[in-house]
Amino acid sequence: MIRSAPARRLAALRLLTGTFAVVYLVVRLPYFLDLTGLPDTRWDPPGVLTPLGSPPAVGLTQLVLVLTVAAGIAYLLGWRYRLTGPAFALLLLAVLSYRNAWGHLFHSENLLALHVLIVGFAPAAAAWSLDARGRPEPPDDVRFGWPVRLAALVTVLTYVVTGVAKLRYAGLDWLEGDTLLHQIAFDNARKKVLGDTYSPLAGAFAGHPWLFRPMGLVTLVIELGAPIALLGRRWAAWWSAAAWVFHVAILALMWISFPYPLSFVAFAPLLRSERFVEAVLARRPVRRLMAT
Amino acid sequence: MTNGWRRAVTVAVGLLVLAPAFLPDADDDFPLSTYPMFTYERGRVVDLDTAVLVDEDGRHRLSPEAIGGTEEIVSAAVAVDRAVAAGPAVVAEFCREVAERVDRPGTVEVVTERHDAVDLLRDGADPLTVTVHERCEVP
Repeated sequence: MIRSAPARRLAALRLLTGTFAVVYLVVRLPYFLDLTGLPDTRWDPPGVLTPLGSPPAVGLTQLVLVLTVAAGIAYLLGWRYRLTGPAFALLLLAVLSYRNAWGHLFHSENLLALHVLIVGFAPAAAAWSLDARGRPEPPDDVRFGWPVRLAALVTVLTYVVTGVAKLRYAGLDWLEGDTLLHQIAFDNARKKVLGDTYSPLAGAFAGHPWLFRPMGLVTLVIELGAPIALLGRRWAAWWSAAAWVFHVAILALMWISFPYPLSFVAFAPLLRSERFVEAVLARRPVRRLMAT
Repeated sequence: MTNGWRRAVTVAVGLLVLAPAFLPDADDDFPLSTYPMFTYERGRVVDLDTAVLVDEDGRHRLSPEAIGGTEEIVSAAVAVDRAVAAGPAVVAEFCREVAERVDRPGTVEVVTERHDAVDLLRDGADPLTVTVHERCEVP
């Protein structure tokens, strides 16, 4: 866990999580604004918002949303990062908690919130940032490597918790396949009766219930086997690919999107993500933009 | 920060993330979670609460936005489930809220449909039963 790494690796994590978070907030802004119109009777805040007995005022919520996007852009650009990094981490936590405060916890943004909390309080603007302009890049250091490893640990442990939950609540029956089949059928059926789109593939798979036993086993292997990704780069690459395919399968069969893992950014702490950013920055249009 | 502190923080963060999985009375929360999704045995026959629009052309599905006030399907499901569970007064209020969000004439019905979920998915089977909790007119 306590290893040196280049400043670029932590900066890459800042760029990737920042890009995802800002795009996510902007694209979903209409949805967040719709939440401000829900009746107070549905208010059931989690985590840091628990002390709020009623929803915050609409104007305040809208202001926080705008400030969060602004802080996210500053985080992404690495501008005044000692202030904007932690500010964005806390504002994003508040906004995502607000999104989960209306009677249901969605589980699709937990890892994003945790990663940004780690990166936001780390020295992630020592490279590839406005703050670092004109300064030589610092040498490899533990202060850059440790936050990345911590984020990797959090990634892996969240998948372990997910696997433990299946065994805890369903027991070994989960491996029989019926629980998974009925879960997929229920979820798609609910979407259908509530007028939403649902998986076009689920009906075909439901006709072959024997498929769900190996699917259940593979799910548990990926989730409980996540710590293997900490053993080295090749293990990390293979496990990340398997976990990504797992999320694609969830999307295909349940029409449920986990955008953060599907974008692959969720697995960036496990990989040398600075190489991906270097490849992007080396592209001619990006070089031209940065030269202006 | 010294390496000793880093190790301590690492252990603390790891325990915080893992704790919901192993503590006996842990509640689901955000961002630390028990991740209980997809874990429960739903059974093949399920009761699904929803709201539909009835007019001279028949019964029509309403969108999650009309039912729950946002595009989010799970929010719509939770909203109608809680209304049905809370009893007639709350269902009546919920019916009126839905009716105000519908943009064409008809009667909103808050219902529970019992389905064989696998048959519904595979063959588009009709509900086994439909229980109507409340009706209200679109204003």
